Amino acid sequence: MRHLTDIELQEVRKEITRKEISSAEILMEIYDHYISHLQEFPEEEFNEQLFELDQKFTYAYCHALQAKFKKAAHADISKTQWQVLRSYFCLGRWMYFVGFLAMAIYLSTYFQTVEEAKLIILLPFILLFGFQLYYGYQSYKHMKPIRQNFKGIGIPIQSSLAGFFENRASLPGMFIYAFISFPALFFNWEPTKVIAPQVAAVFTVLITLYALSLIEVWKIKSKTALV
Amino acid sequence: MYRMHMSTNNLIKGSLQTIILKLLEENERMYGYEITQRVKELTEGEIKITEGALYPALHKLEAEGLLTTEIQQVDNRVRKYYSLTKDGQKEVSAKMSELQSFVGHLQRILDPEWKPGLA
Repeated sequence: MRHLTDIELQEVRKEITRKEISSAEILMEIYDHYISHLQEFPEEEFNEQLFELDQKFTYAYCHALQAKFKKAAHADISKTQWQVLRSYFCLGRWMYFVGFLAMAIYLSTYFQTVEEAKLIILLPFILLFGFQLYYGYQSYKHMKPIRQNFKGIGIPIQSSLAGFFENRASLPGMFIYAFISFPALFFNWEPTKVIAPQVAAVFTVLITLYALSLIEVWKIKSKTALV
Repeated sequence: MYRMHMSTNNLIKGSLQTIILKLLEENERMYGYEITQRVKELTEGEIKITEGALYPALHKLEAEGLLTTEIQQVDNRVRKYYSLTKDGQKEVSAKMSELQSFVGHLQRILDPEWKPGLA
């Protein structure tokens, strides 16, 4: 086994860049495969072996691999989040949850204004925002060596799981946007006016639970993935 | 020689997941290229796992929760190691007996006189 020269490494990166892979997971795996393989051969055989590898890792193959990986990763995260929620809700925790919910509903009866209800519903977003900041930093740290290797290729390299976490973290925001932006729907309409603070309290509890489960999934995945 | 490799590779396709699981049971953790080399070494080059089949199989096993991954910095790059999860460890024996039973049935079809245990 030998170490590849800088020129050889550049050549490898150039060939891989042509495949226009944007998934960091696939990129790092293919790059490692190329290097591990080429290190086994003497310098004279470098070009021939690189050509052979390119015949195996074609553009179409890499993109199919990337698409399948993304699909499987997303399905895996959804499954994990569901498992986290299910395992969370054992009998003892159901009681905690019901107690917490009852307390939130009770406190909501003290709300005097629409602004107070809006404010309470925004509380879990502090948690989600904090999570997004921390997660963004951790993801940046994990991605740094891969981005450095493929600097300036003109394709944004991102973890296949990153987009999923971003979407999931912003999902409750879109829902609550309606609650905050159209208060008339909840606070001025006669049938919902009376229970609006309680609805806000229930949403707060549910979104908190959702945020906690998402953080739990991230904690599990961050041990093994680039997030 | 090329034709023989082609037919061997076609035969191996259905057993690829079992091979990966078995290798990981014996080696604790391995990366993609290492798996291809280990198979080549064990079969003296007769069986070559193609990259085209290996990575989709690894990702599928990972998504099914049979494999877990670990990322490690090696030289100036990042390497992804695969290892068995608890479910994966259980699955190895199930897959192995399934494959052994299949090989036994195949042997009986090819040679009706053959009995298990006979050389």
